[in-house]
Amino acid sequence: MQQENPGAPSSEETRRDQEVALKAIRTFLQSKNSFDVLPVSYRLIVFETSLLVKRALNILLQNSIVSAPLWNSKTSKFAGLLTSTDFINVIQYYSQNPDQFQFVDNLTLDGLRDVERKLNVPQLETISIHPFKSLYEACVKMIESSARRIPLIDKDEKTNREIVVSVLTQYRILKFVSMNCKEAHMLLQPLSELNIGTTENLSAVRMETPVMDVIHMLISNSVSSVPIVDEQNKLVNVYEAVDVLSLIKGGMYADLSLSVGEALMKRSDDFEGVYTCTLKDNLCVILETIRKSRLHRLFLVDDEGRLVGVLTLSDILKYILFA
Amino acid sequence: MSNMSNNSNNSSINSSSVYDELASNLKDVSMIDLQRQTGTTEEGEQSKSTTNSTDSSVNTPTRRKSTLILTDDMDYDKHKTGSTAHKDDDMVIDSENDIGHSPIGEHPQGGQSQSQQQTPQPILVPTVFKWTEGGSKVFVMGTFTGWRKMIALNGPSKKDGSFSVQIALPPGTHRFKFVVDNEVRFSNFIPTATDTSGHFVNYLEVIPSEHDDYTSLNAIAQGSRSKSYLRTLDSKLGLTKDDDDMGDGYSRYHDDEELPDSAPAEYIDSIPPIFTDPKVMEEYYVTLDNNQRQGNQNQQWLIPPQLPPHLESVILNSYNHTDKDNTSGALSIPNHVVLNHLATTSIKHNTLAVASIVRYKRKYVTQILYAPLQ
Repeated sequence: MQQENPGAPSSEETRRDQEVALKAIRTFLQSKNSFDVLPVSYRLIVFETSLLVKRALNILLQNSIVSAPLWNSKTSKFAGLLTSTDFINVIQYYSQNPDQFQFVDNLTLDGLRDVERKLNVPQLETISIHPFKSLYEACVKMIESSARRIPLIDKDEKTNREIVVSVLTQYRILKFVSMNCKEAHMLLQPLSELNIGTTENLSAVRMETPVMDVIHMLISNSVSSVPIVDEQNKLVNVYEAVDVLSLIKGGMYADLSLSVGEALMKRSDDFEGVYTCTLKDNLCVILETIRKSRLHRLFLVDDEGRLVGVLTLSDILKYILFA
Repeated sequence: MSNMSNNSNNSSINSSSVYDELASNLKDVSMIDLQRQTGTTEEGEQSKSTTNSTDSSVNTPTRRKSTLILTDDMDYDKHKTGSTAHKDDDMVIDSENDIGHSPIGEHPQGGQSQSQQQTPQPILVPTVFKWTEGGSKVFVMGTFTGWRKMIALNGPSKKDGSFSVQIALPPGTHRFKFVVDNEVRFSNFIPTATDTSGHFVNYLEVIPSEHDDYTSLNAIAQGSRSKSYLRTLDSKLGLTKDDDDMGDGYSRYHDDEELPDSAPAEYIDSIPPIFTDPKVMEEYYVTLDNNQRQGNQNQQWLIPPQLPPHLESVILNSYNHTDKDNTSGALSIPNHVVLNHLATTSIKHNTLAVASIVRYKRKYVTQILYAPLQ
């Protein structure tokens, strides 16, 4: 997929193909709905809102998942989505209010709402979509609310009560496009021509940086990961929001004086790795990588491996939908 | 594979790339097959007896498991590889029009009369595949052909321009795609789903065809016809060789007619005290104990019935957490008898997990709810 003449603008034909492919993918997303993406039989883990936060954490880790829809059994209603952001909020709250720390063990998912209200951060994600609405609409909703996943909610015909059908992630939608949309192979324009991803004001940390600082960066920059670089600005690792789960797994919030390097030692062995790409790569290659591996972002690096920027799945979705 | 690439040369660039992609997917499957095949042949070379045992294990209809697996139908592949091990691995494009009722499946063309004698013919259900979305040459391929062989559809029909073919398939879930003018397509008029590897496919569930007499049996269940009707039906079904006339003036004995009409059972909405009142409950257990000590066999009704065997294989127990390719939480397809049952875990850390499998439209959701005990 490498261009013969790197740096030279791509041909008229490549640009035209890119346009045609984008239109085709959009039509595809409009013609398919969220229900289509679901397997014939699948599993869905739901938490009751009176569950303790620390229990919820253990269950997420046990099932190797990073989020779960919540269910309020008193009102029989869907009560938002629990994600790694919520655990970060909890850490944030107790680091600001150490006097409240004694209550952390008894904090329920309901109580998490109050904590988040006090922190004045966005509530548990409560957007949702009907499974028979088009994938395009689901993507637009996710991008508007900058959510990385969207729950599919329907109503039971007999009782008229809500049903949580499933949760769709940006990753699953992009993988679905990559596997089932042949036009993805026509996206051959290099990233440098697409004005996609973030290359400015990108904050990075060192291995020695305290993990608490990194966690604060996740919140204040509202990002899902912070790259870790060495003295030469070469990318060495990444701290992801989901890494917080394994960090606080044991004694909750006990040992947050660690450096980010030490904190990474707690990461589980099945970590997928850090994915990188260069500005010469094109979306065809990237979608191919998405299809093969479970990634959530790619870091843009130069030929020496120095960090240049980041390309998130929402960047890719935004480009496909609106470019 | 060679046939396919020849064909794709003629087609446009776009479709050929997809076609190659498909071909590479197919290659994957056939490589798996090949491995398995070499496995069996090696075994065969080692000792004749091993081959025999594998053959019999392949051909004997094993007891149906209560779960079906939506990954490439392993059982099915075994059948195929078992009997087609001698065949070459090339892609076969079947232009034969009259597939009709030929059993694609358990016993492909290679006449294995010996094994057919040993095993009863599997039930095959004639299933119609229809394509109504244009094109000039339409094929169907899927799990029932191991994703390798393509079956041509007849058409276009003069009436509505549709293509169709009837294929006899074993009961179960089959996944498939259409190949229309060298392009892989899925039908918008047949249920679609994403399989464990993320491919978007059409699928259908083949249900064993109901016996004609089933409808009349149903009529009895609904109507208030007497048991004598059932008796004549028994003979119609060949359960008894003749009517009630046993010859020599004797007729068959039916004890139900002599039974006095017992009072009809009554449904109540209150929970019997045996489940709520500790005293009654205790008495119940004391009675159970006493009876056991006396070895009294007539108290079977006091012992709760055993769990039906099909409820013992819990679909969630077979879920593989470490399978990274399964990004959608896909499970095997549940047997319908396990639907709407509540499964629970033991209570740990004051937390209870309950799970139940329900239908959502044409798909199955296995929902696990974690809740604390109040």
